[in-house]
Amino acid sequence: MNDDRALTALTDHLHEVRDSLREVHMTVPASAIFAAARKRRRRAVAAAGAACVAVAIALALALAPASQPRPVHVHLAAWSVDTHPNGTVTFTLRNASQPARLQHVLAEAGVPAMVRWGEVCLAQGRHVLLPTEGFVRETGVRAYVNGRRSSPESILEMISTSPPNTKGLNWSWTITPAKMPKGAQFVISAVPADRVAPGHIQAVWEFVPSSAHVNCAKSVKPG
Amino acid sequence: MRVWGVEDDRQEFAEFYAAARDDCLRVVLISVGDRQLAEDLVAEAFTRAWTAWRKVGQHPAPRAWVVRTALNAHVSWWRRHRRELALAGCEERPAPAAHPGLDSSLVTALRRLPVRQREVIVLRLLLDLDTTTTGEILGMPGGTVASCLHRGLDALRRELASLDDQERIP
Repeated sequence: MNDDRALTALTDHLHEVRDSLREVHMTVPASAIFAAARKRRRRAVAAAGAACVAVAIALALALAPASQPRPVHVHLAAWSVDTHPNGTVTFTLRNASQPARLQHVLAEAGVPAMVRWGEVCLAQGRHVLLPTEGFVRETGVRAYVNGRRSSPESILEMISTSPPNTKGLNWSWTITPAKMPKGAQFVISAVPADRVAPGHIQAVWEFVPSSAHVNCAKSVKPG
Repeated sequence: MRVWGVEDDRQEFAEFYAAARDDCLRVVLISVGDRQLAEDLVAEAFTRAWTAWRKVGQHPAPRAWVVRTALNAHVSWWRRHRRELALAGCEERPAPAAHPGLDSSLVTALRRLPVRQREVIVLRLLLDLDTTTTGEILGMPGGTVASCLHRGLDALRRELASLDDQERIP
């Protein structure tokens, strides 16, 4: 019976602990719960829509006759994109302009991309990054592989054609789409040189999973 | 004929939230120890409850649904948090300090119980549900609920005694 008495005492103790928390109240109003649920529904609807679009595209691609990617040679004053017989794509950026068109042209060349000018975009959380990423500050060029400063070669060969202290954009990249990890996209973003605060990032490029959440801001310090 | 609309649902849920939120918070707080985390988990659980209110509103004990959802979310949170810390190469974060006035040994001992036993203790003793309703919610017969409660309390008592011994070691 001692055992039962001990369990009864424990039950009483649990009740006492619960009752001692009478002064603890939720501070979240019902309106915040409704708002969070609304936001979640909107996200779910958007995700379902995106899934439908993705399925439709996948079906269209599956049903379409197999074809070689057609050569791409687009030359604008601001940027140019060229495909080469060896399967590589050269992308040269001189001026941040026409991001939507650039995104489209890169995709046509076999490089799924997200292009943002006037802001700096970084994928959230280092764990979602694929091996190659890089960023340029107004004072120079830095590239990272697996978080270490390095010269990325396997997926992307970056050639800086501007001296490190030049403030204008004048870079070119050679990308091998066949070596891009499955589901990855090339995210590139930049702000004009005259709008970069000292010590802030001017441009960022990363290969990230297309599902990764990407945060964009007008001004970002290297973290 | 009256049509049960979204506004009625909203009103019904708002009343449920006003009546149940503090009780749910206290029970979850006893189980997780950290006030802010408990509030976040309960808010998340109520958000899910409102999203599925047509179903949750018909549940035999909606408060129990909220508490279970919050505690399950805590398990997910803990797993996710541990994985992120591991990826960042950091040491595992120590358990948060218990809410002032809360018996930290009790929180630790409860956390160490097997999930089923902890759930039975939470539903039967902290939410004051009867054996039948607890069994319905957990999908087990009344006899199993009773034996689970007995075993859980026994294990809790042993855990508390062991923690007490550890504290006495200089």
